[in-house]
Amino acid sequence: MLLPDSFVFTQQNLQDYKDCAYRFYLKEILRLDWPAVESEPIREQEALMLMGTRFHLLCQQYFSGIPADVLSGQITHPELTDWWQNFLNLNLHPTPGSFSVEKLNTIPFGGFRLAAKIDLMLKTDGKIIIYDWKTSQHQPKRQTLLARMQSKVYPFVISNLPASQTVQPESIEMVYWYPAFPQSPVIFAYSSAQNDADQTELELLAAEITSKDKEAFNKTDNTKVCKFCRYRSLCDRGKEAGTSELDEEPADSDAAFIFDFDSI
Amino acid sequence: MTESKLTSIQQQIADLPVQSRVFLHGPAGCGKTFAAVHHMQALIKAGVPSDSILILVPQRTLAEPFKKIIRTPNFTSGGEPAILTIGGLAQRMLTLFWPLVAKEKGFGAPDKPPRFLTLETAQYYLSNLVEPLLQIGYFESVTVDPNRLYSQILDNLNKSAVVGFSPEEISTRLIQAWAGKPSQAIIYDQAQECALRFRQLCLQQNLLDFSLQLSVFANHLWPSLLCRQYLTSTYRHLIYDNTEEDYPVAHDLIESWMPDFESALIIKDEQGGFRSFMGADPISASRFSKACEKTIKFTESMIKTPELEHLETALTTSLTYHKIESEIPIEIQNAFSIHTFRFYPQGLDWITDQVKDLVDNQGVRPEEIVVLTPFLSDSLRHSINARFTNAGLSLSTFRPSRGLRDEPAINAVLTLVKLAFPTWNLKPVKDEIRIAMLLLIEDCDYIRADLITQVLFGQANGILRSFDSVKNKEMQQRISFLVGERFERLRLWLEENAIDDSLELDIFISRLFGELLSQPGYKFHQNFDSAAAVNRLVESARKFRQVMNIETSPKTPDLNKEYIRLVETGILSAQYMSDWESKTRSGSVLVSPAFSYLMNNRPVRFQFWLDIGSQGWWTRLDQPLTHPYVLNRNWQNGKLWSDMHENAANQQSLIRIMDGLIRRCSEHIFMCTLGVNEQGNEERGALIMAVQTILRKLQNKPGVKHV
Repeated sequence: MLLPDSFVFTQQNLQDYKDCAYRFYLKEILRLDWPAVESEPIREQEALMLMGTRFHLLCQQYFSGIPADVLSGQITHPELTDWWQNFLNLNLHPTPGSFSVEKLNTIPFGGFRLAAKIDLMLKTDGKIIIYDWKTSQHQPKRQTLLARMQSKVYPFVISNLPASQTVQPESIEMVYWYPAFPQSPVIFAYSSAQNDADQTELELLAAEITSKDKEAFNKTDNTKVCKFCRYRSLCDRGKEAGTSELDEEPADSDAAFIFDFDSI
Repeated sequence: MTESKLTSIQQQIADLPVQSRVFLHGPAGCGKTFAAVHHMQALIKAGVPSDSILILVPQRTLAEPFKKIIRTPNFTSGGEPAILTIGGLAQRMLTLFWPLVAKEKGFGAPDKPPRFLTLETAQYYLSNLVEPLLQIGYFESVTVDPNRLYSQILDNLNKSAVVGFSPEEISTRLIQAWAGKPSQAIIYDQAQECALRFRQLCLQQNLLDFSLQLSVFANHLWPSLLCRQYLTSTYRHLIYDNTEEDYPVAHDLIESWMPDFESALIIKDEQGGFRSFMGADPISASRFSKACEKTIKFTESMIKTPELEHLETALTTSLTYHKIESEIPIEIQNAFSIHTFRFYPQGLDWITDQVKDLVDNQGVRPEEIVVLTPFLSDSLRHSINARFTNAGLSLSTFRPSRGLRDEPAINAVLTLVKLAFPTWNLKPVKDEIRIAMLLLIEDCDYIRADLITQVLFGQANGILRSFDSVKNKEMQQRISFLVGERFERLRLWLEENAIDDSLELDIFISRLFGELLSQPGYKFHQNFDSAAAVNRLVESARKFRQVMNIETSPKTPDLNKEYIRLVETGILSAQYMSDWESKTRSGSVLVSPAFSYLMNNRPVRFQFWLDIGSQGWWTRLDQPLTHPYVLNRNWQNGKLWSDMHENAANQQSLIRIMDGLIRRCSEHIFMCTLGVNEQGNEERGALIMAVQTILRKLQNKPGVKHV
C-alpha cells in the first residue's frame, strides 16, 4: 500500500482521485510540489480566493461574538459588503452550544480517516444543518453540485459522528449558500438510503485507492481535466493553463489560519 | 503504540483522573511524551470531547507523536485536539479578534486587516528603515553582515516580547551588563532606536511581526473578556509538552489560564532549554511544579543503553571539572568510538563508507542515522552530498538558515527573469547565463552553455539574440541544432511573455515553469527537486507581494525588483523548521547542525559527530547587538556580564547539547576528529578536550580499544 499511515481522506483528495488517479498519486502520495499555474485568469482567481477567505473569516468572527456592526466597519470592498449584508439577512442567531464554526470533523474510514471541515453546523430541534459558504461568481447546476464528492463526504461524516447517533440521516440537511446569490441556495436533504449509498461508494473508492500499486494510478482519459491541472507539463498534456469561468470556489478559501510563526 | 508497552509509571500518567493537574519531569528519552499521548487518549475514552483538548508545544514539530495518534484509524470520531504553539495561538486570536483590539492598541488603520510578517518580510521592512541610517554612520564600529544586523535588532524586540519587558528598556539592559569599551553603548542605543522606529512603522501600517503579535496577544487580547471566554470555553484540558523550550511570557499566560482548565498535564525535560537564543527558559518552566497539585518524575531512559548513560555521565563530569576522578566502566567503549583523520575529505569518505555499511550490511534504516556538525556550510553540504550520491545513499540536509539564493535552480530562474525584463536594469552577468543554460536546457553541456553565452548573449544590453542570427555553420553545429532550437523556444517565450512588466513575479515564474521549463526538452521536466525549489520561490514571492500589496506600496515592477534584491542579499530563507517532517521522512540519512537536530526531538540509533575538535561546539554566535543571557528574566539587571559568565554559559550550553544528543541515541556515537578543519585550521575545542580526558582515564584499563 502506498498511502502513508497518517493519510486522511477528504472530499478534495477523493475528488482529485475521481478526476484523475494519477493526479491523486502525484499530489497525495508523492506530495509533489509543481509550481505551474492551475487555471487562468490567475489574478482574478487569486482576488476571488482572498475575498472568499475574508468572507469565511467574517462569518467566523460573527459567530465568535464580535458585533455585526463592528465587523461591517471592517469591510471596504463593495462586493464583499453585499455578500456580508446578504449573510446578515440570513438572520442566524444560534444559541451557544448549538453550533460549530470552521470545525474539522473526522471519522475512521477504510483503514484511514475521513475528514470534513464544516463552515457552519447548526443543531436545532433534532435537526442538523450543514452550511457551506460558496464564494464563487457563478452558481453551478444543482446536479453538478450533488455529484461532487463534497456532497457525499460532508453529510456522511456528520451522520457518522457519535454526537449524531440520535439523529436520523433524514434530519440532516446540507446547504450550499452563495453570498452572491442569497435567494437561491442549493439545499438537499440527506436520508438513510443516501447514507448507505454514499457509504458503499466511498468505501469502494477507498478500497480501490489503497489496493493500487504505483502503476495502477493511471492518467485520466478525459484530457479536458488536464487543462485545469498543475501537473499537465509533467504528463506531457499541454502547456498553458485552461481558462476557468470562475464558477468553482477556490480550494483553499478558508486558508486564513494556515499561516503561522512556527517557522521562525 | 499499545497500552501493553507502557511502563507502570507511564500507566500512572495515562490513568490520571480526568480532573487532575500534574507536573511531569525527567530527562529526555524517559517516555514522558509517550505517556502524555496515552493520557490524551484516556481523557477521550473517559468522555472528554477531543476538540476541547489543547496540546501546546514550543514548536509544532515537537507534537508529532500526538499527531500520529490523532491520525490513526482507531482514534475517536469527531473533532481533533488542537495542536498549537503560543505564537500560533496568538496569531489565530489576533486574526479572529482583530476588530476588537486594533483600535485599542493604536494601530494606524484599525478598520483594515492585520498584515502578519514573516521573519523575512520583517527584515525587509526593517532594512528599509536601517539602510539610510547605515549611510550616516550607524553601527559604524560593527563588522557584521547587514542581514545579521537586522535579525539581531528583531531579536531584541522578540526578547522584549518573550521575556516581558518594554522595548524601551533594551539598550539600558544591554549597557548595564556590558563590561567592555564604553563606545559599545552607542551601538546598543542605535539598535534600540532602530527597534523602536520599526515598532512605530508596524503600528502605523498594521504590520505584525512576531514580537508585536505576542505582545498584543499577551497584554491586550488575553485580558479581554471575549477572547478569554472564547479560549477558556473552547479548551478545557491542557497537555503542555517541552515547557523548558518555551519562553517566560508563554509560561505567564498558561499559569494565569491554569485555573480555568479542568485538567492539565505539564511536561518538562531536565537539561533542556536548547532554544535559549529564542528565549527558552527552563527555570521559568519549573514554576508549574507549584501550580500543579502533583509532581511525578521519570528517571529511567527508554532509549539509551547503560553504556551511553556512562558516556553522558563521563562527558558531563569531564566538561564540568576537566577531570574524572571516579572509575569509568569499561563498557563505555561500546557507546562511542573515535576516528581520527588528518583532512576533512578523509573524514567524509570514512563516514560515507560507514553509513553504507550500516544500511547495506547491517539492516539499519537510513532515517535511523544522523550526521551532526556544529555548522553546516554549503561546501560541506555539497561534499557530503556528492559522496552519498556516489555511494547510492539518500541524504537529506536540514539547515533553516539556508537562503533561497543558495539554490541553483532558483538562481537559474531568476536569471531568466532578469533577461525577460531588461528595463528593470538587473542585467545578468555572463556566468549567470552560462549556468542558467546548463541547468535549464536538456542536452546542453558546459561547452554549449558557454558558446551560447559568448555568441548569443549581449552583455551590454542584457538581451539574448536569436539562434538564427548565428551565420557561422560550424558554430551552429557546435551548439547543435537541437540545443539551438530549445534555446530559441526559451528566448521566444521570454520575449512573448515579457510584454506586461506589471505582472506579479510569482505568476510570471509559475507560467515560465509550467509552460516552458517543465516541458519536454528542458531539465525541469520530471525533475522533482528543481520543482520543489521553484515552488519555494513562487510561494515566497507570493507571500512577499501579498504583505506589501496595499495602496502605499510601490508598483509591481518595483516590487518585483525589490524581491529579487532580497533573494540576492540572502534575507529570504529556503527552509523552515516546519519543513522538518518532510525532510526527515524520506528514507534518507539526515545531515544537520546539532542544534537543529536537537530542536526536533527525534531519537536515532546511530549518530556521527563530525569534527569534535571544532570550537563551534562551544562558542556561541557573535551577536554584537543583542545578548540571549542578558535579555533574560533570570539575569539580574545592573550586573556585569564578565568572561566568567561567558565561560560558564558556554560550558552549560555544551553540556546541555552533549546530554541532549546522547539521550537521543540508542546505539552508538561515531566521533570524528580532524587534524585540519574545513577552513584549514587546527582546532582543539572543549569537546575534544573532554573526550580526551575520558580516553586518558580509560588508557590503563585492559581491553580498551579507543586509545
